[in-house]
Amino acid sequence: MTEIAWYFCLATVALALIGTLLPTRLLGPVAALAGLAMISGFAPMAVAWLLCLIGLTYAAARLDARSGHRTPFTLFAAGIAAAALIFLRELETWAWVGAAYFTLRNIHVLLDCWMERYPAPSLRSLLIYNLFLPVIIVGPIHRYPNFERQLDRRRVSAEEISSGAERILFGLVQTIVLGGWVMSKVENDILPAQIPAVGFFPDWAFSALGWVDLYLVFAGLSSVAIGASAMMGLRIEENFNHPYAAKNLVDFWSRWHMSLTRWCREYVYQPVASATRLPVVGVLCAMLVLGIWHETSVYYLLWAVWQASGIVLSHLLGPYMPKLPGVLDAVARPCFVLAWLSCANPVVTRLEVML
Amino acid sequence: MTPLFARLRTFLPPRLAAAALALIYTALLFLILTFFGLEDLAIHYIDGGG
Repeated sequence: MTEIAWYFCLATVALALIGTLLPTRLLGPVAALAGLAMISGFAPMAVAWLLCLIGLTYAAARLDARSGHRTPFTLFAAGIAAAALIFLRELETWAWVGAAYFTLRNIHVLLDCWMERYPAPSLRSLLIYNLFLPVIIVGPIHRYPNFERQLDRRRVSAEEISSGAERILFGLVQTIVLGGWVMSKVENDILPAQIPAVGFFPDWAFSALGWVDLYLVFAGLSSVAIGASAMMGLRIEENFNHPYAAKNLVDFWSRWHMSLTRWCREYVYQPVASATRLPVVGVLCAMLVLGIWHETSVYYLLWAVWQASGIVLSHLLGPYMPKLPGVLDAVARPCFVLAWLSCANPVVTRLEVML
Repeated sequence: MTPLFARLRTFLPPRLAAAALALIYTALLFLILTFFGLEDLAIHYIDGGG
């Protein structure tokens, strides 16, 4: 985990403690100012781009609402946001804290306004939504209407505060102790002593450990964000639902980073699948967007094709898979899922070299 | 009542559950502070971030 993530984590906990005492009309602006200060401190260019993006979202949504019909300008603005994320991220001289997350949030608002799901938001609401500190660094990619509703109906109770604080504690243990310490011991000391350093199978084993480590750190930090929001009386979307208990790859992607996979399903898979009448193309496009969202590289393009083929195979072969007795089935299926996911790394890196 | 306390209350009497909860929280906080790397952050500040 990066040092920036630590500082955001500490600031989130501090905000949660202060936020419980704040009246509702001040909570949004204070959380947004805290978010703005944190991003400005670590990534001034990211905050400049975020403010431009908020301005673009606001202007496009307003223009659409004023014209009284769907204009291509909103879709054009969503395209600009996506293209800018891809190209600006390549400028490695500047840090881009949270850029991938706030781009998806703004595209979500733009597309929902274009589909007339809700009226164009005010500039103040957009700023509060985008700069909400707890979700900046690791998400979840919370939804605008739910966030607005939560702010309107905010209720702070002793139960919410204690449950939220406990969630933060568990999240920190998961991130720091399990993800940070235990996994680094396994990856750096235990596993290298047991297996050779290079080769397909060692790469596979390290990749599998990487997936487990990623889950522990990422889900832990998501818990901190969700717990801090709960302490302040706001319920935001869950991000993980025991992904390593998944029965197959389709099930896995509905449990892993749920706010992102839901975004891809709603704004990529469903439109593509309904337009082409080919769910396979929808899955491939959704995974390509997921891959490019992580990084614009050949590796992630191949990674997306690998994961999409896993979903398609899982869907096709699922009914023919033999059911093992009792506990064995409950253990074997998640193991198979993890094996497929982690096999992407050794396969894709070798394909990349060949290409 | 936190989710953990509710779970402890299913098989422990109230006072014992509260004591167990306090013990678990203390142990977890101890683990976090042990592995957090506060020293590194302190050194970062002392060095002026450089």
